[in-house]
Amino acid sequence: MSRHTVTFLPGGVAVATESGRTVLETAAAAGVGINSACGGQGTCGKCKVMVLGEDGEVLACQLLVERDLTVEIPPESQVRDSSILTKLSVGAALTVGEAPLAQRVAVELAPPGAARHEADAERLLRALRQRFGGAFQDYALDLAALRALPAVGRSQDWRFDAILADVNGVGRVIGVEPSASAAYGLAIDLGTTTIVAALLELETGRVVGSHAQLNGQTRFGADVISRIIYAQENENGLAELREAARDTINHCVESVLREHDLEPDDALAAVIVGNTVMTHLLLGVDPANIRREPYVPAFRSLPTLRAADVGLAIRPGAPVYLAPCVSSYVGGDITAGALAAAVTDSPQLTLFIDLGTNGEAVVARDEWAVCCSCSAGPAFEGSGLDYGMYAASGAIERVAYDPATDTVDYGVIGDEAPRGICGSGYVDTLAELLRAGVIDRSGRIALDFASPRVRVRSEIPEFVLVWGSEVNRAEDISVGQDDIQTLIRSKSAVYSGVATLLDSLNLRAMEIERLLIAGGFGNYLHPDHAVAIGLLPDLPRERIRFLGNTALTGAGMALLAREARQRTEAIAARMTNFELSAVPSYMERYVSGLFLPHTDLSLFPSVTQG
Amino acid sequence: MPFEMPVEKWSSAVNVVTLGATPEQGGTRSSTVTVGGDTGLPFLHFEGKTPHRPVIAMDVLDTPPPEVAQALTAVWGDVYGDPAAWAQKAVSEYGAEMICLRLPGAHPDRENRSIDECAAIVQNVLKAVTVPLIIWGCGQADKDNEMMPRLSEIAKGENVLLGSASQDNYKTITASCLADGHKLLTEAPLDINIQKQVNILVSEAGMDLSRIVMFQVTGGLGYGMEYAYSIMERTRLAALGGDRMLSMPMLALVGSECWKTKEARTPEETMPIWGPAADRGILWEATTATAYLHGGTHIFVMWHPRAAAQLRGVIDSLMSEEA
Repeated sequence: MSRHTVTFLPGGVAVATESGRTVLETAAAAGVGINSACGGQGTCGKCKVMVLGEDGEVLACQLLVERDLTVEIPPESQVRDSSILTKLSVGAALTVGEAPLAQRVAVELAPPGAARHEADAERLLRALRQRFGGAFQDYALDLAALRALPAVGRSQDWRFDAILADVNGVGRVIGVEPSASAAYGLAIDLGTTTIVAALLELETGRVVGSHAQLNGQTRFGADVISRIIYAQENENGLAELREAARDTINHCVESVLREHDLEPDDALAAVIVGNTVMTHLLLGVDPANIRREPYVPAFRSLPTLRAADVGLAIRPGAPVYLAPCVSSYVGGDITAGALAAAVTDSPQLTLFIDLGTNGEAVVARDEWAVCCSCSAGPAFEGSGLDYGMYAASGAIERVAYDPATDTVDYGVIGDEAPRGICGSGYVDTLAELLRAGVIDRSGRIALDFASPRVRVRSEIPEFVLVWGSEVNRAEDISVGQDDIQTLIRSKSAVYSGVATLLDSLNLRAMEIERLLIAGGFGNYLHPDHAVAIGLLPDLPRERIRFLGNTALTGAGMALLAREARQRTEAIAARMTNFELSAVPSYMERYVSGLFLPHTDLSLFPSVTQG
Repeated sequence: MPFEMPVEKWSSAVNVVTLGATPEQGGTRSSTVTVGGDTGLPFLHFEGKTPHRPVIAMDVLDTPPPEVAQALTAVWGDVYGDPAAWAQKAVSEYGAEMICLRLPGAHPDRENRSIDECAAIVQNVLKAVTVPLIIWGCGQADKDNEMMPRLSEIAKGENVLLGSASQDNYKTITASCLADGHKLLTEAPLDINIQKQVNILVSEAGMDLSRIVMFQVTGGLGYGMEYAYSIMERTRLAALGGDRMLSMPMLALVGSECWKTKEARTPEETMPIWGPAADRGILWEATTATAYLHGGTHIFVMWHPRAAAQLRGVIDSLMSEEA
């Protein structure tokens, strides 16, 4: 098997690869970021690259490496790192409670002597018992700590640090070392589309930094179902998927540590929250039965694991807590999110919606909670749309259209030149186009609308948001008829899922006292626009709050206090899952929702009257 | 103990729609037809009123149906190919109260009849009969958008029912209806939500809800009749419950759907156990129509005069209890 070298520009990374691999695979293996949403099928068009010396663009997922190549990745195809997917803002501090997942404990032991024959380990454990008492059910030493203890103890005059982890209620010493200060932990959101890692100081709970990246698994499929199928149909599928997620996580972890001059060993603990399928795939547990009737996952709750078992590139013995799942499609990101948003145990009837690829919803009040997965699709994270992108630098996140002057006013994340549109930008666009009469309630573009922005390209009607000439781009940024239909389908999936859930509970939308929205589709969500297009029920706007990435916040909370982890377990145990596909009326409601805002206009009085 | 019939109290009614305009009203029709106004479920006289009896329109096509059963050529064979004569025969010999003039031959994939030709046909039929008309395009959006405004204009003042507006194509025909004072037929593919959506779209394009008649794709007996029936029933219930977007009278294309079935067309020699070919198609059409009558259809577009007569008989009998 001959080998060739592919050099990627910009950057000049040269990668050796076997003949016959695709350029996309080569890039992914080397960590060179090329966008892909369709799993290498050649259908999404997001991986276009140019080969030096040849004309035109080719799809990286279809181009086989047959000789040495230099490949240029144009800006639209680059995966750019993002650091804004969180409302867990840098500098904010979460509460540190009793028994954080790990802590650095300064110990001072009486040295062994003639009258004190106690073994080193027992002396250490006794000191910890005295210090922490009943906070832990028991105390123990990891082998790595035991190996280091005799030398460290004696060399440090019995004043040293014990790294104490809370492993399922037992205080485990995972390391002993000379006194130091670095005590950091990671909160990781293992998203279907985007992975975010936040770095927190364990002692203060302060968020030091974060790093986000497109989940490398997207090249095997944009959604969880296609990834389950990939695992089933390919011999090494499960291993490839696991590796892809793990690599992306480690890349994020490494980046954020490096940014703060820290070493992997400085990260003492990690919490990972992800939906059920994502969690299965990361742990190499077969998710196949999640997709088969009766849709049963392999596990719901997990014991605290070790970083080495999970493949996380931090201190090998570091405890890794994975938030519990509820059902086949409602997972740890929702239980952690519900923790962060204080969804449960509230006297107020609360509806919590996570507007990600899976579109989960939770309805809760006092001691009960019900959840469902609306299967929204990746549209709100920009995937599957012509100029869609996740909420990162260059994404149009805010849009206003004035038909009188035919001007589009827009805001871009990071204040750069726009290169695409993210979820919140699309919500605004739909609402504005409807208001201006560019589209009718079924979402169809009026070809006779008096504006040059309305045109037909490759037989598909579209509306141009940004003229390429205004921002030095070869292409205009537009929203096509097919994009609009995709968005309407996604929003209907969410709305009708929620409506079905409420109806099954004999509740009406108006009874909801708190409507909490989470998601990484932008920094904010315009409630008026979300209601105008029928994505959210028509509630008084003051009841609607956008909370950002609650999964990540919940992960941070779980990192810092056992009580938070226990509450997350309790939340998971309490939530009852609703299988929407088993409710006959769901399909009917879904079709009803394929209208702006809805076929039943009386459900949206604030936007259809006056 | 005397038995008290439990009676449903409905809050709303089906809209009333009148088709056709007499000279006093600005047209040239000698009669008008009024449908709708039902205040209860079909023919349940003890809990609602049926102020107007359902009507039957005879179908007249610009192009004769291909491979049609002998039972039909026996009746219409001499007028197939001459829509004006066909319409005239339907009214004078068979007492048709309405004519539904359809132009499938205008479709680009079929005869691609020119707009001038279609205009001439409409003009001739308007002259040949004085009953109210339904004028229906070919179903191809671009052709209809060119053709229907012209046909609508020719029939201006006659208060015809123009067909049809669908979710994908409704603006042009709605504008014509508004400009020329006609009624609008809205169409949906056996989906109650899409029916509502189309009604909302045309209403937002300016059409008054009271000027609409609804058409859900008709299914013949054995070919979707029950599905269509359940949609009609739900529609009637919604109208009675106050849903203004579903309160319009309903139309069914019974003739064309039933006569294309194999049960209607297969010669007797091929399937002797199916009985006399002369009766089969008629029974198929009459049965389907009768079922739809119970579902709440107001306007029946039919092919065979004997099937129409059968239906009329059922209507007479059901309406006699009303009195």
